[in-house]
Amino acid sequence: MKKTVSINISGIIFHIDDDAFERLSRYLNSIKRHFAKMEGKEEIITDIESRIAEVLQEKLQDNKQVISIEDIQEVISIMGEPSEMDEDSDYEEPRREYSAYSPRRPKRLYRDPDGRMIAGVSSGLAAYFNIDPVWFRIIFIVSLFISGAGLIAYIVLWIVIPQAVTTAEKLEMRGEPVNISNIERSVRDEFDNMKGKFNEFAGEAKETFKKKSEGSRTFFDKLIDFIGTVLRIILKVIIIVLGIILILTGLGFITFSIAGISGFSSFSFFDNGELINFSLAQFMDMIFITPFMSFMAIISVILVFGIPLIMLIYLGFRLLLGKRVRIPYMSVTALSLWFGGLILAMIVAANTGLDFRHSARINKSYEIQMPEKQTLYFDIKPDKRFDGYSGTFDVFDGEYNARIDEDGVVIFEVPDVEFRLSNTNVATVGMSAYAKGSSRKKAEKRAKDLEYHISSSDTSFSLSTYYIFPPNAVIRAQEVLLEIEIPEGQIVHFDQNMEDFFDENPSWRVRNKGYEGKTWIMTRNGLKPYVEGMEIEESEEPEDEGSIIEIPRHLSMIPIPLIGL
Amino acid sequence: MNTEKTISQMRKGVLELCILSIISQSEDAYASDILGKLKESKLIVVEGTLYPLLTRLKNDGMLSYRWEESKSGPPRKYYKITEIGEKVLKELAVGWNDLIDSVNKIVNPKSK
Repeated sequence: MKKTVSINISGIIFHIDDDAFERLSRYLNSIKRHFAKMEGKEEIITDIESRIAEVLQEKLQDNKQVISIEDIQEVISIMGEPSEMDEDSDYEEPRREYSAYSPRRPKRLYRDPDGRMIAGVSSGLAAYFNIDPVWFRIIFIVSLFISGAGLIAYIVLWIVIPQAVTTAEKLEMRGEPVNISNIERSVRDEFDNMKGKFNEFAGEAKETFKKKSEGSRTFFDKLIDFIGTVLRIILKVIIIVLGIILILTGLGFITFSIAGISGFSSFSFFDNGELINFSLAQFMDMIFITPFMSFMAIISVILVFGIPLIMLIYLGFRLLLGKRVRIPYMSVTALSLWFGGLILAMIVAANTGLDFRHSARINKSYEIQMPEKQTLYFDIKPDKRFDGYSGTFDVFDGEYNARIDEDGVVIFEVPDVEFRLSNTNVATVGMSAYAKGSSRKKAEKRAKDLEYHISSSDTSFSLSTYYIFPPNAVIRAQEVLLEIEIPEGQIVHFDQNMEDFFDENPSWRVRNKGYEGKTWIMTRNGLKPYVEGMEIEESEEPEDEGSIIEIPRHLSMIPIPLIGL
Repeated sequence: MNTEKTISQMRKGVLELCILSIISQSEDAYASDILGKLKESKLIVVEGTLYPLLTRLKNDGMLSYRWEESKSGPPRKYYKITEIGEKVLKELAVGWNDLIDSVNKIVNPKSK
């Protein structure tokens, strides 16, 4: 049994089935649309309707009282679809021709339930402004970090903006005119997404669809919906926030490491108003023997540390934007590159490590037999190269100093100094140079290459403040030690120009103790301050007290032959 | 290649001419009569093609019509050709014959 409708075509009454009526309406409307722009469209339409009425009348003979859908379909095939009615057969009626011609109808802001991620706020806004919803999502998320303004805005919008439920509302949301044709099209699109769900006639299915969206659902259903939505939101927010955190962390680390590398050995800084630039290359050259090694080292570091960071950032973006940002073979490539970097790092480390296998020590010694009751003088042999501090900077966390000459990078440092009681009556300055290398010979050569001057006269030693590496040398744990032995009771004076020597000395024993410019006396317990005429304490054999005879220091230095290995 | 389409293009080109001709050959022509003749000669496939054409010809002053009530059915329009219509018809007919000649010469070259 079917429902019938009474209609009037060209003044003639017809009884027509429900579904047939629907079909006929659509057909007539499509014709109206088709001729909308044409001159005399009303006439044409009237004529066509008239003809349709005639055709239908013929069908109603022989006791048939009601027009059926088959009749309508026949009528349509006789009269033709609107696209066939044109003289120009090339003219195809595109499904969306309407939007090409007519101006956009005023849009209404709805939330889009079909394109939603959480509640359809972004989708709805996007439909209204004709912009990709991703932009709105990004805005919301970023504003989350600005004291959560975005969250409040989103919730407000969610409450205030209605959801587009019926097809008509969805069309309004997109600014498409609401007519049967568009609705039909929209519904058909939705059907494609829900294949197999609707088996009934097109007309009945549409009715059911409309009923379902408007109809009554129990409170319980709504509650479940709400809870589900809330959970969905929370999950999505977590994922998105996680994504952002990962991205920021990755970027942060990369920035930090770049800064860290440059901060590692004061690559560039102002010194007395000059900006000194120290390139990474020069720094690397101090560690790695060949430039090739340095380069490999840099590459391996970038790979081993950089790749995980890049993967973090990539993961962050994946969480945020989903499949769109997927890069094929990303994981495989990243993993292999990382392993490659690791292996490279191991090779470089092994290669460089070899250079530290052997060590060698070179010793030199200078002696003075001090005449009785003379003061032993120490002073610094001036080296113009190190006047002032300009251009000097620390390497290896202050272990060495370095500067850039016309020859290249020159590393220098104050030798470690230790004062000891001599068990003879000879004052000795012993120098010990130490270095490492891949073979004993190489280590020795490195130690020998360290430049340090000691000279002596009858009553004085002259030292350099710094021991100096050859230009562009590699750092291989070089070290110079001075062991100064002084007989007991010997009075010693350190020239004021030894200030740097003491204050910059690696040994904490002599640093900032104020040795320079003062007179001292060697006792069993080390160097003690000496003042003319003072009592010598803590000595089992009191020395003669007498005035100190000042003897002018000889300025000529006569180096004493080396006693070496 | 779809020849049907091209051939139907050819048909549509001469539709105007045929309609005017049919109408001029009878005192009064009613839509379904016209349709009948056109369908016979397969010039028209769907009836809907006719109506916009008729209206246009009428608006351009080549046709005129009158209404007639019918006993069983909706009122009918009966079309008649006008003077202008006759003129246009003659010109179109001449053009058509010329076309036939030229095309035939190319497509069916006669060997003398």
